[in-house]
Amino acid sequence: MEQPGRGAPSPRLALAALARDTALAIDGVVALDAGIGGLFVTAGGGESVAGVRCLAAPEGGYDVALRLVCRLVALRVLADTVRQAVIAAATVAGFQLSTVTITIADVVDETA
Amino acid sequence: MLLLKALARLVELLLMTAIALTGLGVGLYCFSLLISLGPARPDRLLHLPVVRARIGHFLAQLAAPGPTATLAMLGGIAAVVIGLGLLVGLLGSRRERLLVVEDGGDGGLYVRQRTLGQMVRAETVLAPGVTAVKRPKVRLARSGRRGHVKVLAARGSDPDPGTVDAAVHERVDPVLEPLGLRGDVRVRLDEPRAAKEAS
Repeated sequence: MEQPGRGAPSPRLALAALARDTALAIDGVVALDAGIGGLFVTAGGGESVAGVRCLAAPEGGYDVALRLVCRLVALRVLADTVRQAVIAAATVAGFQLSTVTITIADVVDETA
Repeated sequence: MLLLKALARLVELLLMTAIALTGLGVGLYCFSLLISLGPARPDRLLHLPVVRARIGHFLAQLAAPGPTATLAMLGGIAAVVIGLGLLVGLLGSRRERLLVVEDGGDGGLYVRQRTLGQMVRAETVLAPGVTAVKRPKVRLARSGRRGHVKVLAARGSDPDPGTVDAAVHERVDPVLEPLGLRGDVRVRLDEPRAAKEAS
């Protein structure tokens, strides 16, 4: 298997960072959540992206999972928006995605 | 809970090692009754005669009434509490409870059980006439595909219960229905507030 050169981020890390930035740019998403014990991350080469997990899918491409902290919005609509945006951004960047899984980890009640 | 789990793992490892070593010693001792192991006497290796000499006196005090027995009883109670805590740490579910909203070929959508309660509470508080809301109880099916949310809200003496109930449903139903959850909304009179309003 071809290994990324020293200094260059791995494709998984690059994809995780892209998914994180794309999700955070969407209205309704407040933050990403690293899960219990901060273990929900994509890590490699001394770097990590919290709240996103990218794995190589068995059938090719990548399985991307995100844990979102969002505002009180319609969750299905938000999840669809995030999924479509991540797929579009990944396609432009040359990544093929197999699945995009979204977990709503927390909500922020801004009226409180 | 996380600390309890880590502690349970550590104690589990140490305890298993101790039990394994003791078991090995006892096994060798039993074996030595059939076949001579020469100078390698397991009971001597485990220093069992020394242990007996040291704790024999304590065991005698333990059997008799007195301060040692009280101390032992407190120790026993503490051991039971610690044991129960470790059992919770070992047997408690390590997976967070999630509602499965979608689980298709292109990915899924999951919502944490705790988050569902937060959402329902936040919406209920905003319903006109609601003065307080208890933390909603969310119960999910083992499959995570169905669930039930129990909401207990309090209202003032005005407006009437029907109006408040309808207002709560108006806020909560749009949250629950798209997620396939059933809601059980109960609105009760906030008696201290009602009494204050009446006086």
